[in-house]
Formats: sequence, C-alpha cells, structure tokens
Amino acid sequence: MNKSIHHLLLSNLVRWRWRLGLIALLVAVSTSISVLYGGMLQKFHTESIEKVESLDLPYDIMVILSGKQAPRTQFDNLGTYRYETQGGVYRGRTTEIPITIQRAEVALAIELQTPFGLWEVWGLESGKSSLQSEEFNGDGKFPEARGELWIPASYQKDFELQIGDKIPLHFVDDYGVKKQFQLEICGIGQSGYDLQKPQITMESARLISGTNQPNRQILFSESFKYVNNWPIFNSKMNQMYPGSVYIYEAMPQLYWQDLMKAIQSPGQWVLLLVFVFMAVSVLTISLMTFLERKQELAVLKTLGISNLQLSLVLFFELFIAGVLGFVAGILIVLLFSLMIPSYLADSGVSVSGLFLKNGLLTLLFFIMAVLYPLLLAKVASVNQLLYAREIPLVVARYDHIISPPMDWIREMQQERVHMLKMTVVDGKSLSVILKNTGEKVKTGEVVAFMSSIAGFYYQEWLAPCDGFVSSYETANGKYVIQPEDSSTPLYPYTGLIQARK
Amino acid sequence: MFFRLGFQNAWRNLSRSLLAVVSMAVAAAFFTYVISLGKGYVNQAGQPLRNMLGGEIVVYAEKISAQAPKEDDRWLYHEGETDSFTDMPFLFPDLAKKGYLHVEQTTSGFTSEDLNSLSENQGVDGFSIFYRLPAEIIQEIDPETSETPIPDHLLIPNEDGTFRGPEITYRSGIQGRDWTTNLEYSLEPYLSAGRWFEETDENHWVGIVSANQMLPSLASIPHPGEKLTLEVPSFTLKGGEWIADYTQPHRFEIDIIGNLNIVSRTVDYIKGIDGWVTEPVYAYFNEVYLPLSIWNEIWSQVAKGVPYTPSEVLMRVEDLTYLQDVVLDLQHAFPQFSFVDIPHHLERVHSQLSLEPVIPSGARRALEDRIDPFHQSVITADLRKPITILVLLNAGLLVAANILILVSERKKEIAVLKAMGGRENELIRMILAEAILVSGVGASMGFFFIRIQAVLNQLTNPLGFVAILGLFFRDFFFVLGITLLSAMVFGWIPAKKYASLPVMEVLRNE
Repeated sequence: MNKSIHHLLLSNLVRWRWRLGLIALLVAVSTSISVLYGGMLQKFHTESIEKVESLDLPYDIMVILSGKQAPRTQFDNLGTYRYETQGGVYRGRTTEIPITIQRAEVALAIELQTPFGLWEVWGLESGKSSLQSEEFNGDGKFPEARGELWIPASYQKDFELQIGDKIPLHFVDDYGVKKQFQLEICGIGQSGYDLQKPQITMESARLISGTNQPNRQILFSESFKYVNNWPIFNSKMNQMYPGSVYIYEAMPQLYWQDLMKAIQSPGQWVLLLVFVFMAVSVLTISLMTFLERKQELAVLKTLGISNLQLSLVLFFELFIAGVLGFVAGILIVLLFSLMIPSYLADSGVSVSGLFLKNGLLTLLFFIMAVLYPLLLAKVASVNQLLYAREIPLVVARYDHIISPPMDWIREMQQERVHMLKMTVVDGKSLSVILKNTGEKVKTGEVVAFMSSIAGFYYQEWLAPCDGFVSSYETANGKYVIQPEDSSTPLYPYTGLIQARK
Repeated sequence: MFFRLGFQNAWRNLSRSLLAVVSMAVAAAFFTYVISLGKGYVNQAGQPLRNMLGGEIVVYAEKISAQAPKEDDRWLYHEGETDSFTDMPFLFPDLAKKGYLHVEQTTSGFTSEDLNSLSENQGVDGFSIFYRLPAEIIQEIDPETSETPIPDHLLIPNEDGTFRGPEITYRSGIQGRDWTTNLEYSLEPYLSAGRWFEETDENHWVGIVSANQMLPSLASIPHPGEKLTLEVPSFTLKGGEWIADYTQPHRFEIDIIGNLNIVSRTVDYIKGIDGWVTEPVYAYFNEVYLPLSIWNEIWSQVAKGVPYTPSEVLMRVEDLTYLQDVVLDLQHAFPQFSFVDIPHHLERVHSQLSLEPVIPSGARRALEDRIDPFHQSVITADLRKPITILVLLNAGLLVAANILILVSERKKEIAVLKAMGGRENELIRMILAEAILVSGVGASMGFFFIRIQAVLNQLTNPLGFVAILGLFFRDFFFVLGITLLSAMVFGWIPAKKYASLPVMEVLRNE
C-alpha cells in the first residue's frame, strides 16, 4: 500500500469512528461473554467431576452379560489407546497401549428373595476366584460346600447376622415357579469394596437357578489403567459383549460426563447465540455503512483505486475495529478476574485455551459478517454504485447460445442472423428484455438481464454484433439480431456440430 | 409535534429500518420464549401417563435427576434395585439394570412438612401421594384349562394319581389412589372390559389390571369377574429404611372388576404395500389398581401398623402453560428432591421403550432409532436470566446502530429543525419516538409470533377466556416494556449526540 492509501485508511478510521467503535464494542462484548461464560461452563465441568465418587473395585472390568450371552473364552486384543505419559522418555508424546486381557473369571449371579429384601448373590468357583482373596475375609471362610453363604461386612451390620445363621430364601425361575431354599452363613467379610455381594459356590448357584451358564464375567488387564479414551473402549467392549453393561472404576465419572453434556447443552447454544448475534449486528452495521458510502466508493473507483486496494482499505478498517474489540474483550475478562479472583483462577480452566478457541470463533464469525459488504465493494462497478442498481456478487454473461438446437444453427447460417436464447417459462419471459424488437444494438451492449437468488446472481445477455433486434419469441426464448454488416462472422458453432456428428 | 415528526420519519424510513424491526422481533421472540418457555402444554399433554400416576409433576424423594451440582453435593453410583415404592420399577427398569447416580444425602421419604411446603409453591394446585407397594401375583395353573402346555417337570402329582399344575408367581405392584376425589385423573376412558371404581367400591376388595401385561409363559391375564391372589412381603422399618421380608408374605384375594387397554402412543411407519400406516403401541404393565382404603388396609397388615412414608408425590399445576417454569422454580426451592414434568417423564419412558415390549415389527426400528442414550433424567441449566440479558443487550446495540445510521443520514434535516427553533430535548424526543415505534412494532411481532402457540395451548386448558387474556396482556406489556426500555436506553445515546450538534457545523459540513 502506498502512502495515499495509508492516509485514506487513517482518515476513514477517524471519520467512521462511532460506527467502527460500535463494531469494536460488539466484538468486545461477545468475546468477553463467550470467554467468561465458556469458562464458567468448563469450570463447572471440571469441578463437578470431583463431586462424583469413583468405584473401588478389586477387578478391572465386570461385564454383566445380557440375555443368554455366554462368557467369552477367547479375547481379542481390545484395541489400542492413546495415553499421555507424565514422565520418563515419552514426556509430551503420546504412545499407544494395547489392551490385553490377562485373566478372566466367571460368576453366576442370581436374585434371591430373602427376609432382608431382594439380594443379588454370586455363585463363584470355590477357591479359584480373586474375589475370595483372604484380605476380604473376616470371620469364617468363603463358601466351599453346597448351602454355604458368605456375606459382606455391610450386610452383617445392616441386618445383624452372625456365622451359623440359617437364612430362608425364595427363588423364582423363568416359568414363575417359586422354590424355597435355606443357606447357612459360613463367613463374613472384613474389608469391603464397592458393589460387594454375598457369595455361594457355583454349584449352589446352579442348583438354585437351574441354569449352568454364568452371567457375569470379571476381567483383569494390566494395561487397563492407561485407558483414557472411553468412547472407543466402550465401543470395543460392545463388539465383544453386545448389549451388556460394564462396571469399572471410572464408570460413575463417565456417567456424569454424559449427564453434564446434557445439562450443559443449552449453555453451548447460548455461546453460539452470542456469536450469531455478534455476526448479525456486525453485518447490519457494515452493510449500512457500505450503503451510505456508495457514492464515496464510486468516486474512489473513478479516481483509479484498484479493487484490491479498495478491499484492503475497507477490510483493514473493519479488522482494526475487530482487533481493538478483541483486545478490549480480553481486558474486560482480566478486569473481571481481578475483581472476582476465584472466577477463573485455580479452577483448572485453561484461560489461554479459552481465548484461543473463542478468539478463533469470533474471528470466523466476524469474517463471515464483513465478507458480504467487502465483496460488494469489490465487484460493484461505478455505475452500480452511483445509480443504485443491484450489485450482484456473481454475473454470468452470454453473447452466444451455449448449446443451440441444430435447426437454430441452420437458420443462423442460412439467414446470416445472430441468436441468443432467453430464459422463458410457459411462454413468459423471465429475462428482462432491455432492447425490444426493432431497436438498434451495439456489440457488447446488454440486451437483457435476469436476477436470481435475491439479486446475488445475475445473468446478462450481450449483443454479439452491431445491428437491430429482428424478433423475439417468448414461446421458446429465441432472440434474433440482424447484423448491420451481413459479413460479421457468426459464433463458430462448427466445432459443436462436428462433435454431434 | 416532534412526536408526530418522529413517527412520520419512522414511517418514511420503515423499509430501511426493517432490519431493526426484524432484530427487535427476534429479540422479543426469544424473550417471550424465555418467560413462558415458549409453548406450554396442551391439556392432554402426557396422557395417559398423567392419569396412570395422577398429576403433572413427578417428585421423587431420592435425588436422581442430574443437575449442575451444588457446593456440598456428592454423587454416588447406585446399582440394582430402584425404590420399589415409586413408579421407577415399572417405568424405568433400565435404571436398575445399568445403575444410576444419585446424591449422597438422599432422603428416604417425604415428611409431612416437606409435603406442606411443596404444595405452598406458586403455580401449584395440589398434590397427591403415590401409594405403591411391591407385590407378586400368584396364579395356580390348571393343566385342563391352560392354553400353553405345561412342561412335565412342573406338574405336581396328586394323591389320586392325577396331576395338578404349578403355582406361578410374577412381579407386580399394587397402587392405591383416592378415586373418589381425583376424578380428573380417572383411567375410565381406557377400560377395555368391566368397569371403573365407584364410590361404593371403597372398603371392597376389588381391583383393576391392565389387559396387556408382561407375563411368564404359563400365566394369563385376569379378567373381570375372576379372582386374583396377591402376595405382599411384610415390611419392617430399620434405620429409616423399609426392608421387605419376602419369606413371610401375606396373601390377599381381590375381585377383578376391570381391564385397562392403554395406548402408549401411535406410530407411523411404512408397511409393505400398504404404504404408511398408523398403528397404536400398547402400554404393558403388571400394576394392580386398588381403592385407597383397601391399599391402606394391606399396608397396615404388612407393615404392622407403622404409617407409610411416601417416596413419590404427584403435583398438579394451575396452568400447563407454565409447567416448565413451575418445575424450574420447584427445583430451585427444593434441591434435595427430583422433579420431572410428566411430558418429559413420558418422553423418557418412550425413549427407553420400557412400557412397550410389543411393537408392530415394522415400527420397531423407527422407535429404536429414537432411543435416548441417557437413561437418567437431567435438569438442564436454568438459562432464563443469561439469555434474557444477552438477547436484550444485542437487540439494544442493534437499535443503537440503527438509530445512529438513521439519524446521521438526516443531519441536515435536524440542523434545519434546530434553525427553526427546535430545542435539543424536542429533537431527542423526536428521535426516541422513532426508536420506540420501530422497536415496539418489532417487539409486538416477535411476541405474537411466539406467544400465539401458547395461547392456543391455553385455550385447551381449563382456563377462563378472561384469565387467558389477562396472562397474555401481562406478558405482552412485560416484554414490550423491557424491549422499549432497552431501545430507549440505547437510542438515547446517538439521539443525544446528534441533537446536541451546533447547527452551523452540520450545515457547513454537508
């Protein structure tokens, strides 16, 4: 840009200071609102996850098999997961961890009606299950024989049970037939874990339920602790166990995250609304400013400013306003954080990330909003600017027919006339005819035009030669121009004819 | 005179300030939507679930509807059995299967003070306690009459060498409601056989069951005139919680007087060469409806006289248009309970297909596609305030921009008016009159556009015409007032700026 353009830009900035100031204000407000509000949402999300207790489990995954699904014996590699290493040689990089299942156990869970409500009782392979580790046992022993029942410590406390107590039980099978049993307490747990259940031997469970197939599978995997991409993990698990439910330590947090997404979804809409409002307002202001300045732009164009230079001047005016607004927005957020220090600090919210994300969004919406008036300024001719004609963004011009029928070409060659094809529908001309039959035309003169898509798209028909309009048929759109000089060459349709042959 | 000039100017520039009108209309529309949450519900919203439960807002004593957490909340994973004194076991069996999160300090029931303070809320018309107990239905299968052949191993030999069928048990729940007072929530229109409860049925052992039930293969639906055996576990209160003893059940016999056939919803789907067909999907549930007096009698026997602690309450609202508002307000006032309005409750029931195990095969896929991944209800953040502020701020800025442009184009005119003796105040009034007209037209358009739907909904509600008009104009003047205020505040700045320009300077620059 040369000096005079610089000067033009500066004087424009001063002259339109109020208008541009308003744009800057809009950008500032939307930036600060989006950062503060987005920060609030993020803070809520990160803080609220701490309010959810994770499960304390002695296994990695428990699969509650659905329906009559059988436990798996062969395990595929569950897939690879990305995880960030916190130290060591992989600092700052991501590495992929294959999840393999080291060990799997099965259990047969049955629902029993007891004097203490409905109990889920697990039938386990006696002496083989990791749930029967001695650290979980207090008094007595784990069930070894038929009819023995082991209960967690919490059950003993809640229902005041002792070793040797005999508990009558009912079991209802698939037919609805109720069977009665009695189990004797052989052991009571000590240290507990979450979702701990009473245990019996697998044999007892089979006897009571009348089914042989276990309905729980307990999985152990050493690499499980590195999984952090839960959606992929869940989809892999769904391939292995369709329709089943999985229990693992982080499950409550994942439930919560899903729920928080639903809780916050209107908030995300509000954020979008902020940007949409900003864009609409900026578009209104910049468009109105453009309309007011049409004559000024026409003068500049007449004086010889190039389209690029003009676009640059207009763009920088708006851009400077936008940048000022963005900076003001940052200042507002900082001021806010100084006044209420706990708002963004110490919340685990990445403020720079928020600024980056919202800054980019602001920029995107801002550019979308100012693009239209800028493009208008670029494509408009002096004529259009001065005489308030429509300014289309895209113009298609025709001085010949794109694909004429053969009889039209023959007519042109025999009669030595030029033809154009107007857009007609049902005998009505959609093209606005500027030169009617009998009127004289010059080469390149616009004889008809059609505006579509609310003035954005323009079609113009140009006279291919000097002459006069000899006929126009609204039935088929045939517009015939008789040349003054009959030797004016016709548009070379010969290539087209050869191609058709 | 300057007012008239302002209006004339607005009229002259109406086409150019159309954008201002539209933006004001959008702002007012948003605002209207926010204050009445837009639509409200028609009188039939959530039927027949409303009649099955008896109210418009479901309140659980257990805090299970997830919402933005409060300071000292702790959310825990809860697996297995849902509270069997509520509608959860038959409406949301998924909760028991997948487990759910709830707040640590969950109260186990409503106290009478809770119930009183709940009903004192604005917009609440009354409440009814949801009386439910887990129970089992017992059927003795007769090999002679059983439609399904009985497997040999289930047959029980008699002493005389013949065989008798087994006794079949399946899970159910018994619900008691005062059918004599809550007439508007009667299930009478859904009867397929028999009759509905009458006042004379109080203290009589009669009951009504659904004609569509999820039964084990050998069991059959009890019809009117038949007897039904109920087995109810005995209950003891231990540490504030009811513990059911299933090994010492009580048996009760009731006469069935009616069958219900409730259409859960209708589905449209393409069925072979028939093209689009509309078919009903029926609600399947095993609940037994009893007169409240009988239900109380059963409870006093199984609980040995200890009074019932309700863990679910159904609330009624005065006007369904403000149902969501009332729910949001209740949620603010009682964060320890879960509130769901019936239309959302029904949406959740539909999205889990929990009442609909039998679906026309062609429609199954269409319905399964709509299954909601969230099986727990969610209370979305209450954004009434932030949206209002945001929308009005933006609308105000747009008005300011418009006034700025409209005024700046007429600098010369203003200068001439001033030269003729117009005072600054009068000019400001003229400009503001224009702003008010433009935003008033816009605001009214936006308000009517959104609010008309609510009015149509209100017309179906049992509200008087005068009451509807009153509410309509109350909201209209509120929206108009707030919008005009913001227009005046934001229009005043450019008006002041141009009205205070010296005449000579303006004319010289032109």
